[in-house]
Amino acid sequence: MAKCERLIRASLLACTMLSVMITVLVVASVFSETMRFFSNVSAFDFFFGTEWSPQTAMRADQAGGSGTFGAVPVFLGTFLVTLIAMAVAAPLGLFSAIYLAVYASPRFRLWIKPVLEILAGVPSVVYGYFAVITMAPMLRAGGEMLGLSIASESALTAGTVMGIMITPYVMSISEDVISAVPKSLSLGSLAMGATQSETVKKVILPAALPGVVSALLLGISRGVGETMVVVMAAGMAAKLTVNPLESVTTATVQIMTLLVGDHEFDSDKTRAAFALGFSLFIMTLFLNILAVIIVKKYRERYD
Amino acid sequence: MNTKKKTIDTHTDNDKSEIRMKTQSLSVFYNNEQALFDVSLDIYNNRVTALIGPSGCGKSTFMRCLNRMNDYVEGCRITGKVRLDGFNIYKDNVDTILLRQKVGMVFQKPNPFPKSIFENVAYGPKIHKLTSNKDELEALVVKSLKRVGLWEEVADRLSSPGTSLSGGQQQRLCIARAIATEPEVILMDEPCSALDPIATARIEELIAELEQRYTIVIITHSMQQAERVSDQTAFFHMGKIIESGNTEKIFNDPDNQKTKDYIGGKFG
Repeated sequence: MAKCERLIRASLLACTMLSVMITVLVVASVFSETMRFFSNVSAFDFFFGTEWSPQTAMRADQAGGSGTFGAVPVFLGTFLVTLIAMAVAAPLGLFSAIYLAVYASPRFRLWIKPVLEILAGVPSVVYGYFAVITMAPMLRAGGEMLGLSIASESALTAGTVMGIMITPYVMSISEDVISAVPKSLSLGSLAMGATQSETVKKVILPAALPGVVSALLLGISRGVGETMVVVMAAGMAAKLTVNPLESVTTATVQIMTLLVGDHEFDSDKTRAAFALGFSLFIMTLFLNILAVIIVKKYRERYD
Repeated sequence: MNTKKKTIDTHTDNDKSEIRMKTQSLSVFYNNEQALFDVSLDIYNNRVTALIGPSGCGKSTFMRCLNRMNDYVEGCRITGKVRLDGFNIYKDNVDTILLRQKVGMVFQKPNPFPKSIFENVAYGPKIHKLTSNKDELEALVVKSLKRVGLWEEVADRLSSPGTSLSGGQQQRLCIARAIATEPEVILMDEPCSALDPIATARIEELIAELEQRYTIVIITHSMQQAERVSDQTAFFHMGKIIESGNTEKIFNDPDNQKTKDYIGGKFG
């Protein structure tokens, strides 16, 4: 019996260690490739250079094409698309969370929450199609009416659809933190003669603010790492622009284009993908840690 | 702090025999379940009325009718009348915001808002726009804090969070918050149940002081507390008032056997 227990324990431990080790190995391999990249290309040029054209030689003996790896336009594109996404997801997610947590009847909430959570599980490639087939023509038509010319692939299209995609996610977390505000606080406010909306504005939201902020941070980190929608809707060319009507590219799109295709894997071009990936990893890691710290601090105040 | 009841406030010209609030055959239903049956009770001006009875007897439900907080309970339906100064507060056109300014409430567990001590007390005056400038608001906050005896303890840290105070101080802060809107009636739902004996004694002392200015309705599970702080007592059981009247009479010579049993600790 004891032997059996030990065996179970050992195999469970093995599984845990294996998954931890795999994660460590993944990070280590990305890190070592990144370091090799930076031994050939200066980190300064990568982080501050404004020209991105990684088209290096297809074969080692081919002439020309040493490639320039100034990642600023790529990160700027990521930033722009994410910003547009949050401009959509933050108000939509937050306001619907307020409605669900404060105003909706329990029956409605019980019915709508699973629906929105299913929406959060739709594969991103589906949203990509939605961006290309529905959103892009719609925005183009709308732009034409206003006299604007919107590229068929644009930061606006990609950002809007990405925003729609992460809205349920932001909403779900915000709803949780708003619901976690003790009922006694809102009742106290209502009993003072405050209206429901005054109570939301002056008591519930300030109390839930740290949680809401971390919900938004988690939304941003999802947007930064999102690939399919931007591949299909944002574009490939690395332009240094903050105009949302133009096509931009993002770090994830570049990683994909750099690694897809039939070419030598051991080149600066492919290693640049690792450098981009590692930068993204650091960014999202930072955002997630920040979100966890904020949530933790906020929990302590009520427990 | 020395608390001679009568010297605190000399301007009370309110007549203690006057009825401030009154319920008339009040019944409350939660969905199809009836929680209160035909309850009629007079609440006298500038007196403390204690509501006693075993858990689930309807005293909290009754209290929530007095400031219409039952409006926020799903499936709650009310018949009968609740009058404040003769006016039926369950009429359709009643402004519940104004009603709750006049009928304040203190909860079982201290529930200061996640704001500073000052902002907690200023909350009601700001909502009801009771003051026209910053100085007036400050004066009102200070007055309210003084009235609950918290001023000396918090004068130098008005900007620290309300939650940084001790439990008893938090509850007094909540009472200060309630009286900052200049209410006529204060409802207290077991205000001491989360407090230690010393903080409880302090609140009881405070209730005796507040009685000079306000009409107080208090729910309590402590028979000693009801006897100590109240002038009138209503004994609830199974959604009905079994007996109500002068506290001394209820505790020493109740008419009803059930009242006698409950006060004597035979059930509850």
